[in-house]
Amino acid sequence: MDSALQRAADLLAQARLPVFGGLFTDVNGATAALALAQKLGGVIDHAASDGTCRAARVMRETGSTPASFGEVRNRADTVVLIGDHPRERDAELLQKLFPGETLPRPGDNKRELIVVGAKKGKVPTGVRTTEIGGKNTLPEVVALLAAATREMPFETRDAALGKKVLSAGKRLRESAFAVFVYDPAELEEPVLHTVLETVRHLVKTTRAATLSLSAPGNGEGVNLCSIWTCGLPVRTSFAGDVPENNMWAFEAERLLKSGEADALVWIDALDGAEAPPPTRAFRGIPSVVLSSKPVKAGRDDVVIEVGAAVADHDAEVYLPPISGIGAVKATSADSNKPTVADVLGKIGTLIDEKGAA
Amino acid sequence: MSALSFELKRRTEQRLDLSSLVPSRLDGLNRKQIESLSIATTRQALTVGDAFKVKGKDVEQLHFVGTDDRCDKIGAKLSGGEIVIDGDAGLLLGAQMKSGKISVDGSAGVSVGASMSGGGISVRRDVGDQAGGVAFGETFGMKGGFISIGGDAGALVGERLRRGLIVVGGKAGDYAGGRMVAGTILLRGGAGRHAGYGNRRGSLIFGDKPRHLMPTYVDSGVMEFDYLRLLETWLREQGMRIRLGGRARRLMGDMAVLGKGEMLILE
Repeated sequence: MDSALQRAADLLAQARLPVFGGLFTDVNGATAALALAQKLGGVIDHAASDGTCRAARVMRETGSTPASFGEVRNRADTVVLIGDHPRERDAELLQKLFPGETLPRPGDNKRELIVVGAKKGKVPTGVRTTEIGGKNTLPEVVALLAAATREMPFETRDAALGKKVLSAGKRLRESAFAVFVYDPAELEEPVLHTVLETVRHLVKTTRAATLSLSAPGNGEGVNLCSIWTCGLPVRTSFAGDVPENNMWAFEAERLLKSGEADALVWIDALDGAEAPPPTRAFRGIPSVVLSSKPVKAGRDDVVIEVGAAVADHDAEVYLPPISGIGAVKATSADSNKPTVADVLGKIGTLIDEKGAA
Repeated sequence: MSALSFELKRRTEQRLDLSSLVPSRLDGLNRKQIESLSIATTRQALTVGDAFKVKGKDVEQLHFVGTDDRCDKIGAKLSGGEIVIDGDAGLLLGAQMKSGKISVDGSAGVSVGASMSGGGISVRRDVGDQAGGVAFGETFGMKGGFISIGGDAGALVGERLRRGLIVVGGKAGDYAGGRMVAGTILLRGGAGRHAGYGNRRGSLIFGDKPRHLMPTYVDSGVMEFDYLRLLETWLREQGMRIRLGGRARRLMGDMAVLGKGEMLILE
């Protein structure tokens, strides 16, 4: 273990631009990764940051109106489910959003579900459901629903689709609290923007909000941790005098493919989730891998086995049901394995000692 | 006085931040001081003198030679003067510039002219995604000025465009004019899918009928537009001979957001 830590410290101390990727870890692990990245002038990115970055960008530029999961489950009378991702990510999502019994809701409407631009899938029983799709692409159907909600004209040859869209638009205007549920990783910026614009239009006369699915692998927790640490979301570089964020330039995969990054710290240590490794990871780029799972790594790479957050040690992670960060007790408490924060902290100390010597 | 020129010695391992090489920041510096400016984007130190051969004196006329796609932020926040690039440019070329002129002989990376408010950028070949888009920390894309692209443009050209004109000679990617607020984009070689998505009050002008039209654009018929003649004259004054004529089919949209924008398809 000690020799692995020393090799990791040696590898990172001589790197020009190390990138901290994966980041499937708890808040303590993310804090330690950010501290080490700051020390080394590195870049941080999360393996599921596509959606987080898009959502952050659109929110930064135009604002958003989020609702918490409990609020949607208990109070929304119309739920608009957009795309396939939400049900792929959680097959029971709709059952959770439409429980048998709910708290008193605003308005007199019966609860209703509108599914937009998704393949046929499971819907809750006893809930009136409208499915809008047809041959149109997801962005087109979202745009049609947005136009119908505003009572603006649109052109489609599919009369049945047109009728459904008009009826859904009317329902949204008449809803006491309509909520749009989506995964930002599935919606490109203009589509996301249009959903938010529709909410902004609806809130002039009624209540409406969004429920944006959080990124897997504690993506939201890591992103929040980055924001409260340096003021910027993930895909941030600490190489300059001040941290710099750029969605394109500081994406881990691009940095590795282009050869601009010359070392990788890969962190995959969260119970129940596996970070999809970048295609170039562990192949040619000197890597330090902190993983709670078996890893195929190159001969010169440093692999350090760590505990899985939530399984092997208590952890603070983003919890979608409360839309916030909460503490979770370990399920198996294997205290023999070190945490990501322990390992990164020790590597940082060794680098400091090396610098002092 | 001869133009101040920067000739790239060789391709560098790291990207270069060349935002300090603009007239307002070079004014009053001698050759040695210029050569010692840092352009590093990693913790490995790198100065202008390490990466470039520096010649000439006139800081109002900058000339980059042999640059590549790692030469970032050339002309960022430019507020006057002229920059000629005999090579390629990296990301954020001319981002947030206020005035002056930039011309690139090759291609440029993502976010060309992001949130610029004035001046002109001309790129002879292709550009990456989000040309005329939003710079970090800004809420709008390009707010004024002119971008001319000779080749193809990536996705989201003119994203959140607020004012100004973008001309794309080749093909534009998906979501051309996506989320645009106002301003004009002339697409001579067509565009990918979902052009004009989320457009509030902007104008997209197509040389030919696009292959994919959003269903939230509504046909308003063929009309005469004096505006097109004025634009044709203005472009000629900039040295661009583009025949627009005066007639176009007008589609109003994007009805999904505000619906006061338009697509003009030239007749």
